[in-house]
Amino acid sequence: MDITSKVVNDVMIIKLHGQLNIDTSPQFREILFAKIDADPSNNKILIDCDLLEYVSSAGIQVLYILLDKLEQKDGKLALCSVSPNVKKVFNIIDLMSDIQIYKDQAEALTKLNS
Amino acid sequence: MATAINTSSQYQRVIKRDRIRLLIFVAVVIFFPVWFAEIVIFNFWIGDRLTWLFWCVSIGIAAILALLVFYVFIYFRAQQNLQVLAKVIFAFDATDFDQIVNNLSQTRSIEEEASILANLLIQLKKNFSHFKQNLLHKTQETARIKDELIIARNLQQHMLPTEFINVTKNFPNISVYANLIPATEVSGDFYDVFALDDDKLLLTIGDVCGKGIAACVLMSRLLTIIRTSALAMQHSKSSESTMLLDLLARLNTGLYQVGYEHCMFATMILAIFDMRTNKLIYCNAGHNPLCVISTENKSVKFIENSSKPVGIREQAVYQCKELQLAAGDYCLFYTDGIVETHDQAGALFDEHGMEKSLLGRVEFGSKAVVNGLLQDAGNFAPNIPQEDDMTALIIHHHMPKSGTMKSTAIQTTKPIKSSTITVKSGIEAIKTVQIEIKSFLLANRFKAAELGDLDVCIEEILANIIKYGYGPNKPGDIDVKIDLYTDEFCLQFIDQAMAFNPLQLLASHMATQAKRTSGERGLKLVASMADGLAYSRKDDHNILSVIKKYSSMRKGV
Repeated sequence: MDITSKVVNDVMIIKLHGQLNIDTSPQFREILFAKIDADPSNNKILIDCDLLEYVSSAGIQVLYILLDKLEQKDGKLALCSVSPNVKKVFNIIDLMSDIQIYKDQAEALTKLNS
Repeated sequence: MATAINTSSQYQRVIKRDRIRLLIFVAVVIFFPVWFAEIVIFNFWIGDRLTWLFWCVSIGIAAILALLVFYVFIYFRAQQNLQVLAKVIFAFDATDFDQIVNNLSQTRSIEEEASILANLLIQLKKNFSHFKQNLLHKTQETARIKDELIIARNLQQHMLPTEFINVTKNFPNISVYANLIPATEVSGDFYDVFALDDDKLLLTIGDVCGKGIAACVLMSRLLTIIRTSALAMQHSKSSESTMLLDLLARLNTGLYQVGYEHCMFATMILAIFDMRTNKLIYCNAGHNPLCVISTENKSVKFIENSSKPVGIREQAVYQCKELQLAAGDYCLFYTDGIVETHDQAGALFDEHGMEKSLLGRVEFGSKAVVNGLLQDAGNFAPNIPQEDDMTALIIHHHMPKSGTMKSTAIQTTKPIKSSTITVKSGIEAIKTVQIEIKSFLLANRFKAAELGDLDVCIEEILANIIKYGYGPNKPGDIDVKIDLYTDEFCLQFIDQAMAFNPLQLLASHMATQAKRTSGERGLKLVASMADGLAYSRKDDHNILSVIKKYSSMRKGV
């Protein structure tokens, strides 16, 4: 899995490319935690799922851990550009009741900064 | 060889003598050229200048040559001695100092140096022998303690019953099982089960604070008091609760007398179970709650109500409670070592982990439930050494037999096509199975785009088998079988891990709880994506079948 990140308007945008499964989620967790710990002002994270092929419960677990961590820092976590396949998984788990999902980056950025 | 130098002052004397020799040597070397130069300068103006010059130059050169030869000689001799020393050092065997000293005596000349070295080594040998003796003594002492600990462990294990059939032999619908896994050689946890009469069992579980020898000694005392007192009281006409309270008072006094000064106390549950009426009378002295597992409701209930631990106050008041077990219910007693198992991040196995482990095994009986629970708690933090003793004791009131559970989902007709992959449990196995199953389906005219769910299902099921079934310490084989039928295909995951029915978790309230672990979420994903799920246990194998209907997944069939 490839993870790229950039900061736009105080929001860290993480773009995931590939599969967020049992194999890759520890790496995902490590990278994200390092980024959050590196700078205390990094407390708004948007995960762009445009190129995310599939997600399993191990990946969802990391999203929840990340959410807990950000909430402790008064931060926000949101997802955007989720493909139908991945969205199906999120629906089953009812992830949307805990983490906001936006249509695309532009919408997410406006909402996160409002 | 020079005489032995035995004291430090003799050693200093030799050093001093060597310095004097060096001074004389230097003086001679400097004195001669100066003296010679004087003669040369004096005679140069008086005698035959040329003859004098010739002699002066000749003798000067001769002197320099002699000096050179002398230095070369000294150099080679030193080299030779160094070589002997090197040989000795390379062949060094700490056990044979005499040989070293003997070898050093072969150094040529400069006897004093060899002698000093030899004697220093003799001193070293003395020191070393002393050290070796100490070490040997300590090692023997450690070995002796270890042997004694092993004996203590065996004795302790013999104090804990391991056969439970006899105590319930008149009641085929009741079973009892218990197991204890100590964290060190001996444990502070204990349990006991014995018959008070034909109908009643006395059950106890407990944990003496601390672990190791001290805790072990106290637990032996407690077990002895329980057995002897209970058996002495069994013919008295007093009620169960009076008997339990009397017993607890004796235990409290017995432990308070010996343990109080050392701040040692114990938490425990003491219970009497009537196998005729399935009623449990118990008293909880500061111990973890009782846990009732209902097979019918697929629920786990923790019953909190405890008094003071025993041995902490001279006068302690205890209360007895009653619990009626329904058909199919289990009643579990456990120690804190199970719930307090934690992983590296500090997350606890806790009651949630217990619930999951217990529900998955309700259909397999007491032994599977207890051993499964201990295994799951152990696997929760495989990289951390077990910190506390773990003990579980269970009573099960069997459901009346009503035929075996049958799965309606599994096809009985012969499949059109089949394939099986066997993998070793490990995260790598997931990818292999995903690729193999997908390529089998694609080769049988399925559309790749429709198989997205399959990867998730395979990952979730395999991850559960790998993580919780086998655990990281005991990897085993997993067979994944795919059968194609006319309108559906069936994936079977077959493993030889301890019996566990994940579908029981789905049926319980755990599946709808807000705080779920990745395993439970995974199970929910599989259940939502599959068109049918079935579990069976056959010949010590867990078989989980996932059925998927074709709908639009296959082209042109």
